[in-house]
Amino acid sequence: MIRFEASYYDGKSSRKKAVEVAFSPPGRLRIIGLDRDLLHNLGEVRISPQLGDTLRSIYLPDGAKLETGDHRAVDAILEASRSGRWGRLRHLLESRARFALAAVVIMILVLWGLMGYGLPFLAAKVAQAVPAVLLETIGKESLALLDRTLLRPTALEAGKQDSIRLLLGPLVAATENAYDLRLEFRASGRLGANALALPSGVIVMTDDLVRLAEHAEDLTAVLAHEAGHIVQRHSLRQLLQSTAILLVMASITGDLTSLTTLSAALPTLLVDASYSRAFEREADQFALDYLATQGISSSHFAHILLRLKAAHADDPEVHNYLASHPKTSQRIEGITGSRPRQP
Amino acid sequence: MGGYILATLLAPPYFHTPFRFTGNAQEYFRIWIVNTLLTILTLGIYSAWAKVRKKRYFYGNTLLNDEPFDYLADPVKILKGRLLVLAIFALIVLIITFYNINIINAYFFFWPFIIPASAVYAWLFVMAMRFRLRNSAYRNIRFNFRGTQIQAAWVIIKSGLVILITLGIGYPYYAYKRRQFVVSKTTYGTTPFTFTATAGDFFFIYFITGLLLFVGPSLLLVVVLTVGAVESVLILIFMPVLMTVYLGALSLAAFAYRSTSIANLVYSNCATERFRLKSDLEFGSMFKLYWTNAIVIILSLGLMIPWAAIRMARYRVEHITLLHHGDLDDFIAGEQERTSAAGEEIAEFFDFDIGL
Repeated sequence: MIRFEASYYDGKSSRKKAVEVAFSPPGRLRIIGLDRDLLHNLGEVRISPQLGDTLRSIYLPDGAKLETGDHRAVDAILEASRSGRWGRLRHLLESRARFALAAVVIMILVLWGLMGYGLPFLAAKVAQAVPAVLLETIGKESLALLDRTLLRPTALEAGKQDSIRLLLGPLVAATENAYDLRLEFRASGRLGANALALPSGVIVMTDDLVRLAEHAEDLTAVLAHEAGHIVQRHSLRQLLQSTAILLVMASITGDLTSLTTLSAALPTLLVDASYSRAFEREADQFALDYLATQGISSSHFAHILLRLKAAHADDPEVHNYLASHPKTSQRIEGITGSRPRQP
Repeated sequence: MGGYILATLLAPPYFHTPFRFTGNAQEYFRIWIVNTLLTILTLGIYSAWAKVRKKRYFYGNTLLNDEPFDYLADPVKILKGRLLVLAIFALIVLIITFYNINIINAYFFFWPFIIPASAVYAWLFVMAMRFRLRNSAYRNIRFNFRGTQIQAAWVIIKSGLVILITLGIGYPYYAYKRRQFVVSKTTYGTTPFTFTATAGDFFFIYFITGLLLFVGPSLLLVVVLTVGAVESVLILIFMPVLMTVYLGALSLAAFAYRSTSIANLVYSNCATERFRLKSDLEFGSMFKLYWTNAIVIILSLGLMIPWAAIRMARYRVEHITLLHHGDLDDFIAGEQERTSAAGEEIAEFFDFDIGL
């Protein structure tokens, strides 16, 4: 026989009555202290599982409810009715420091695996499956948007443009014509010396960059780097990965006020930036491999990077963890230090 | 009506019963971390159960007269609602992709749909409020929401027109109408609430908020113009940092002021024939809570979210008092009505501003 004290609410009015509940195995609850005693079979009541130290609720079939803080008695009843095992296991998991610690460790491992390997892997698969038609439209829209905002028509003469376009020929051949690579020239005050790759296969080169280059091979290196972004569908993968990360973070923290979600989402910026730097390194490697097949020295790549760095010396330094590109010195180390893979 | 309630309630004798919050960060952290992990490991399916546990923890630790509130939602219903949300979201993404709508075009493209969109919003809003309130109980008496979709649509259309005509300055009117709609359609059992605040109260709060957002940057401009004349490397380096911190702190202060004043205003104007609420949050404390929470969450990469949630809940709950005549025994239950979680889940997903 188990006895415990509880508050009884009949569910019709908010009146509270102090009662005593007696449980006699195998399965009868007797509620004592009302006008007349109530009897209920265990099968027809619902007992709330333990949650922290909050009061336990026993919901009776007629809509009435008992509330009690006597966890031991309630658990004994659950034990006797051979139910609520999952509830007890869950409370056990939720109430021990070592399980909390284990959960933190597992969660870090899972998130790390997800962000480091799972998402990039999935994003690469999905990006490769996206039809070229879609990439074409995305590219067209982005170029139109850039033309309205950052870019102006080029001031380069047609002959110069054509001679640089010739550099693209071997690159197109090397990628087996699979990626409709095209080259566009634009002027831009704000971008300075720069080159962009659009998912449609369009590479945009600024006039300043063309002026910055001393040899044709410098531009070949830049083109190969941008072609690497296109061939490996980096912009699409970046988009997919950033969206997925945000969804993961929102699903973990999304049940809180927006300010909290925002604070918790901030670290995803770090992850985004690290993805971006990984793509830059991939594109660098692509360029090195290509230069090797063309018999062009990788020092041209290092050379143009150095000149780019000098040209952007006035730009504000962004902290490394948030930077979209690896440090130029690290990139050059990667170029001169690494031995391009033989095709 | 409002005057009558004030008169009856302010006539002594009445009791002050403060709300108490008994949750603690350590206990909640353990619950939160296990639920979060289970959510990740089940690819989100467990999130419905996690949500119910979280709500039950906060409700169960909110005590009035030493008796807890109770959250009664069925996780399976929430899961169904979430799956529906996912399906709708996927559909929207597919439509945007297939019809190749870019965001700028979409903005113009969706204008003709503003009326149907408001209708959908009204429908969701009412569904969400019903689900939330019908699953909240105190002393085994459930709350209920009796507003209808048509009433909600009317509120939206009316205040939408006001905002349109005043070029946005009339926004506080919408803030007022929305709370009035929510509170005055809420019942505890069969006992209806009345909302006694006025539109003027809301205009005042938004005026002060606007002032904070306007005066601060103007001061900054004056400082920049005076200091800018003095050329110094030190100023060039530190100015952008100082400006960011200053403007960030200012907008957070404005945000804290607005949410503190609105919460005080709304809660303190919720009344029934026999009781009214009183909320006395302080701006300074709320501001401090907001910025310390944000910093701690960022620095702990999210691990301190439970701690932040608990201390925010404690502060807010413990600053609400119930002023009432007599005991709380004679509130009568209403009829129980069934409701689906779809509205609440959609509202949550798209981060609608619902409730108080």
